[in-house]
Amino acid sequence: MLVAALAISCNRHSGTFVLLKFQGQVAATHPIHSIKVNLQFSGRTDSTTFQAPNGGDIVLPTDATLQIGSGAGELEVTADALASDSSELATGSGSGSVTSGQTSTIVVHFGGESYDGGSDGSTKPDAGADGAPDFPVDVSTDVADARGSNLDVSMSDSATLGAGGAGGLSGTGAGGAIGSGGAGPDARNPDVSGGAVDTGAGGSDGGTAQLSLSSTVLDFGVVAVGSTSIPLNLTVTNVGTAPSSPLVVFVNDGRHFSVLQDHCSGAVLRPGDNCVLAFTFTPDALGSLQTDGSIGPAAGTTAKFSLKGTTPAGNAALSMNPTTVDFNLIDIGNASSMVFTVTNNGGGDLGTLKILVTGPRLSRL
Amino acid sequence: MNDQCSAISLGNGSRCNFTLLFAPTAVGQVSATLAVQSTSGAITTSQASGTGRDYVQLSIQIAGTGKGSVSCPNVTCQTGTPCSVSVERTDSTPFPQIDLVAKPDSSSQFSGWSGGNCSGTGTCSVTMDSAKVITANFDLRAAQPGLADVRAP
Repeated sequence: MLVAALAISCNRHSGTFVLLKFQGQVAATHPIHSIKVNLQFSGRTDSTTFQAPNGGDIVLPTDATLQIGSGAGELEVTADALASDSSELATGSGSGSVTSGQTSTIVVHFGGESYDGGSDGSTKPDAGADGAPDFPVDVSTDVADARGSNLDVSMSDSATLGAGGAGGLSGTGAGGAIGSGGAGPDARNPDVSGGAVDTGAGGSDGGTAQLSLSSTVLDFGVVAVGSTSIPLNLTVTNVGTAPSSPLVVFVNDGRHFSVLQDHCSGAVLRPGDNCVLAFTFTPDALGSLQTDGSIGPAAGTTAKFSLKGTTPAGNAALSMNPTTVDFNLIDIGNASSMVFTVTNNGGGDLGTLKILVTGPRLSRL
Repeated sequence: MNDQCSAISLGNGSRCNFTLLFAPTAVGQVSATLAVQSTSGAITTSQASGTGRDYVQLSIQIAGTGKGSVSCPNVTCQTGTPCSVSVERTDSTPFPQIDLVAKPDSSSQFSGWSGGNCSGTGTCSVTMDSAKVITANFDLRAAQPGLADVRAP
């Protein structure tokens, strides 16, 4: 009973984990609403669909962690980026060897911008004349803990495609979707917990887990474009009366908001226990950014939080000092000068500068 | 204007300097908005102002057979003493105006102004749009018969 073991040991390395790194871009005008992942592992097939909290859009790059039970073998992954109407925006695939007790990383690169439409009118990536995929898939094995990922979903080691909520990953059903997940054991194998998301919610004492966050909004303030903020911590505490399920940490916008430290993903919090997440903000353009995140599930719900930050926006990207100057009385025939300093306060690449002097009688200045 | 900013690309956290020179060529206050704009659209502004100043001479002469004085703010010119006033000009709208008042002594009478667009015997208001020369004319009074000179017929 893998998940139960996880719940007791809190040891992520007791199973087989895969860190899926979704990268690239989708050129379509529609945002990514969900990513459907199809898995083939040890002769089994399964699928799950990742969705952002609150039905928001998914911003690439983003990560997902899968627990695929235990064992080693070749894992094949295909992923479909889907619009809100379930139309396919882009496809990626990858495969690699996974090993029990380790976290293998598979990079799936979406490349919607490379769609050529093809002679068949397909919107899928062109396989090219050599039949090789257009979008490179990198596979590497990383023995490090994968708890820095943004998405996390578990699949029981006996899971097969089945009805949502019964066991394992089951598409958009409750079994594998982010933030939900099946609670009950697989109907075909009562010894295997399904979904690994609500195991603790129905503890032996009949209590429930309840997650409390130290803050629901982490505000990174003003951060220069291209710079990374100081980390902000988020403490997650189980204030309930039963152990939590293995926690899933999700940040919608993994491009600008990163999980620097993650002691929560996969952890099972006993009542009163807590874990800490540390986030950073790295803006790559001027403006304000905000994203949603969630941690859960506990008692079938997730604890939601927001991350936000801004850059020296607009004109604030440039500053000039002094902002006012009065030369006072200067006799005709004499002159006075003042040095002005212009500073790029983190506006990134602002292009070239020019100086303009405007106003009445400016010829005198 | 020493300029190390124009046409450069300023990196994050970087600074550049330029020098603004104020060399007035006319009297009065001027102001301007100084803007530094990047091709990306970022802009920062500063306000600059200054006042051009000069001094012009107001020369006061006293002429005629009589005696007297001419007073204006801060100075009084007496008969027989060359007199001039340096007038500070910091504004041209309008230029400063100086009021001159003539005062004859007991043996004289003020007969009027000349120069500087002044005339008559009242106060002379001189607009200092340029250097001016103003003359105050005093004449001796004609002898008046005294009571001791009045004799009974």
